[in-house]
Amino acid sequence: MRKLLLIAGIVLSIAIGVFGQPIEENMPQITGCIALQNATIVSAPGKAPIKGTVIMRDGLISSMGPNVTIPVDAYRIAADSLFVYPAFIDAFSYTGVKNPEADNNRQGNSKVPFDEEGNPSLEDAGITPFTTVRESFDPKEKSIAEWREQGFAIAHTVPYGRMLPGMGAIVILSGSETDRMLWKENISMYSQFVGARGAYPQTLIGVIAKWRELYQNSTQLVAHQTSYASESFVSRPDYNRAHEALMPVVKKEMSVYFRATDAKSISRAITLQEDLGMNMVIADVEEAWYYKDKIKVNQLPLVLSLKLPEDKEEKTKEDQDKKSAEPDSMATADTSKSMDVDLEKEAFEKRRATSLAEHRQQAGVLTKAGINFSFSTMNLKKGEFMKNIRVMIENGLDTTAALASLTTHPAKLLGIEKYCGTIEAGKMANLMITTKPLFDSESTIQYMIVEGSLYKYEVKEKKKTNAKENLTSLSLVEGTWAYTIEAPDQTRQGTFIFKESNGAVEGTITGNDMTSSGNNELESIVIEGKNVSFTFDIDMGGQMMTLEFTLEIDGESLDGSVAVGEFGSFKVTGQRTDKPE
Amino acid sequence: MYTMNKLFLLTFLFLSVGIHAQVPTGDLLIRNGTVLTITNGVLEETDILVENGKIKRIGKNLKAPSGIKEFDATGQYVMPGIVDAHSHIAIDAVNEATNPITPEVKVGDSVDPFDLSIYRALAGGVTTIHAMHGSANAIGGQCQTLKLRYGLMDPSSFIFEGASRTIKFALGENPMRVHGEGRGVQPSTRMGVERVIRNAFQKGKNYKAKWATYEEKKKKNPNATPPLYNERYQTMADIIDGKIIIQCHSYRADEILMLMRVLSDFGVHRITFQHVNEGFKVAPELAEFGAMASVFADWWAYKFEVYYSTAYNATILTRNGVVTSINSDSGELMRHLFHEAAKTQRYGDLSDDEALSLITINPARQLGIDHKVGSIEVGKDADLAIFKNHPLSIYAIPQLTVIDGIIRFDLANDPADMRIYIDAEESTPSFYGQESVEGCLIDTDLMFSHQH
Repeated sequence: MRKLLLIAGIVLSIAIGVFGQPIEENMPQITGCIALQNATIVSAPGKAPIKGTVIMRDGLISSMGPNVTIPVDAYRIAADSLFVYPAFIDAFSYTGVKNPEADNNRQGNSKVPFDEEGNPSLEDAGITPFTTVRESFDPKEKSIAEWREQGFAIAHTVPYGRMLPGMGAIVILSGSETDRMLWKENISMYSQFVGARGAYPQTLIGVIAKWRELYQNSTQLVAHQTSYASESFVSRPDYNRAHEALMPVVKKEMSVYFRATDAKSISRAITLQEDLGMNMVIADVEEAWYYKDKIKVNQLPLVLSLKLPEDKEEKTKEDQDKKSAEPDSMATADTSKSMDVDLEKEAFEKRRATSLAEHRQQAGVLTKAGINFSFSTMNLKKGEFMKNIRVMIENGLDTTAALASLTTHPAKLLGIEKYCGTIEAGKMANLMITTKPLFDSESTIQYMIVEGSLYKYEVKEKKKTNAKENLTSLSLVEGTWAYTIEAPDQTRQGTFIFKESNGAVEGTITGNDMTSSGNNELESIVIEGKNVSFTFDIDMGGQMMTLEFTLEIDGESLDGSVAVGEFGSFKVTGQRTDKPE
Repeated sequence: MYTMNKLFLLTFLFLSVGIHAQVPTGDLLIRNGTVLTITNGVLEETDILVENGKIKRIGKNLKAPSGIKEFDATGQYVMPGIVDAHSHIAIDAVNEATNPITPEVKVGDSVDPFDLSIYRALAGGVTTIHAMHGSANAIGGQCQTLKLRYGLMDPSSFIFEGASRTIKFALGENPMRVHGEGRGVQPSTRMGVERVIRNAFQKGKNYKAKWATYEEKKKKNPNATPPLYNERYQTMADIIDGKIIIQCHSYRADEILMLMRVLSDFGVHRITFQHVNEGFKVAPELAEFGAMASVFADWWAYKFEVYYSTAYNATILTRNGVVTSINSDSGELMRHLFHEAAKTQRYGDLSDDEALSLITINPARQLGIDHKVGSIEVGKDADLAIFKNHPLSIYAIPQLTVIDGIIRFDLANDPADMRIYIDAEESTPSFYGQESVEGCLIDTDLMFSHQH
């Protein structure tokens, strides 16, 4: 196995079941009961905060309020300074799903086999409505922990693919067993305007034509199966996996989640819905305002993307500001450019800025137009999530609607409002506990409770490491270090390299299997006095683990430890082997 | 720069009124122009009254309802809006090049209401285009006749209501190259192209028979089992039933004759040959068959099979009684189709009406929309183009373009930036001022690298 990791040996030497446990969890769960004491609770979007205690037992909220009795066996969390919200529900995502494309080396150039009609197999055509997300779901997939860390307890997740990738499921973002985590399977049919690679249907027009044909055949199959079941002398229906899988869509028992990010795709999805008549949710939408009247009139449920366009202009400005902030940079050099402003470009820029504002205002504009929506994290970087929500709030989305779009609206859309979306006795214990009011820019998540499982997060004090400060201590670490980690089974060796880059200290790590994830950069490097700490994320067979190094440097040697999740902490020693002049 | 001028605001107002189905129409009085009716000669100093998007009256000193918008066309020429019988603008997909026959796909499913080429076409007096599938496949997809209602957001509001269904066929090098050479399947030769088309018709015929049998059975047995629905062969059946006009990309005389023989064998008669550069060699045969022709004014020799042609092609076809049009096949050429039509006066001495018919009533006939557009007649759609100087003059300048009584282009009010959709991440639009690649072989890059 190539992905033998630094700590693979340790894993084997420790009890095997441990592997799937949440890495963020600091406390062992010795009781099924948690008491969140004296917290500020927002039980549902729009509800005034109350001071009170939430008691949870066996995955459910058992009671909630200012005067509840705390059971003797409860694990108590003093939450006096903390805020409690219903955990988020992701209305449309790939959370927990492995992307098979990553393993699939076949690109457009290689020939796709086809039958005498010139049609490829259903799989090569990207028409796999019979696929369930279970097939590509992995409880250890790192996105589960990542989105949980962002506040999500539940996700509607769909398989990767092309025109009709398959059926989605509702997933609980906690646990280690697929069976337990897939709460409700086959609740949706995922589709998008993405053609096959080098095979029919390759283009937009092929995909739409194919949709019409599939829908018609599935409609015929429904009628045929009905008469086959009830009448005699009816020939056996033709079997086609795709037609069969689309029957619940034809019968309107299953909604099609049509992924339509841009304006034109949205209008095309709407037209397809009007032509065929299926129940459709327009999903992962980035530009709904173009067609908001039609969306409203047709009462199409909407799932908005949390993505926002990047403001390149602003970024350039920031970069320039950064540059001019540097002491040695030629601060005056760039200003002369503004003298010969290109008028045409300026006009373009104005319209681009308007478009950018429209994207940011979308959520607010839709709310004011009386259109409810949920949110999707599909293809969103986790770091952008809260940042973008806050941008939307700054641009007219009120916080109640923001919270509703992440809790009660998706719960209703997915048909699970009886079980989750608010903090009420009897509902699933899905809670988010933050240090400040939720959308406050300083707010961070301290605990997540997902169906009664408790996850604690280090509240990192945002210590803004001043670049200059760090630089003065650069000489302490600069150069190449040979390290040795003393794990129980064997020792591991490799090197750290520290150097200056853009006014900050940067570091990389090498070593057996250390860089199997393709990344060898050290993160969160902090130098204080003689102490150096940093972290490194390592891919452990699909699950990301963080190695936390804490080292003390004494001249040309180092000594310290590395913490590896819950496997414990191991001794690290090393010597500097190379130091730049 | 204030891009949202009145014209623009106007279209947005209509948008907010209601996106669906009902397309906006307008009232307009055009005063005192030289009206080139095409079907009824030239009317000097004549007014045209438009109500609800239709031409209500044509005459001198017309009385009009008070408050109606007026345009003074004194000294200017009013002609029917130009119809381009062969275009690939305003659609996002052109070739489904993964099968030699794809009659089931429809470019109308990919209408792009934001394509800036639409506005450019309007600026050349064009009001209607025939947006076509490309020529990668022997039988390509169904085409879509569009009215250039630039400013509307809903793609369906561009659809020309009541136009005939049309479908793209292609003979010769393109399907041979894309499928034979590129994908290693039939057709590799012109013989193969014929075989592919014959097979498709035969399968369409069989499919039709299968459904007819089912319909018969169903009368006696309501539980009879329908055959699998196949949109590909259903479309072939529709062609056999005369519901669709074939629009066939073709160059050589021999292959043109070949396709007419094939169609005769399957009882199909409605066809317009596109490009048809050797049409002049078989003009009597085309006329006898009832086939129509849509040609370039003077463009050929851009590849081997189209080496032999003549600028007299349109004239020879016209004189032989073939309904002929001149098309652009290009977002650029489309902006001066009136010049292209005028070339037939240099090469062939066509009359003004005959030359203008090539870009108005004749293409309208080929698309099955001549009952609505293509000439200036009472009751027809108010799709008009107004020129300073005669449109067949080299000095012609389009002034105003009207669709359904609504001004869609006004030279006096023509802002620099007419984009509707703005990419929030793109500072300077990359397509601005550029014409996209030549249309016929778009989307076939996978199969073959170069365009023509």
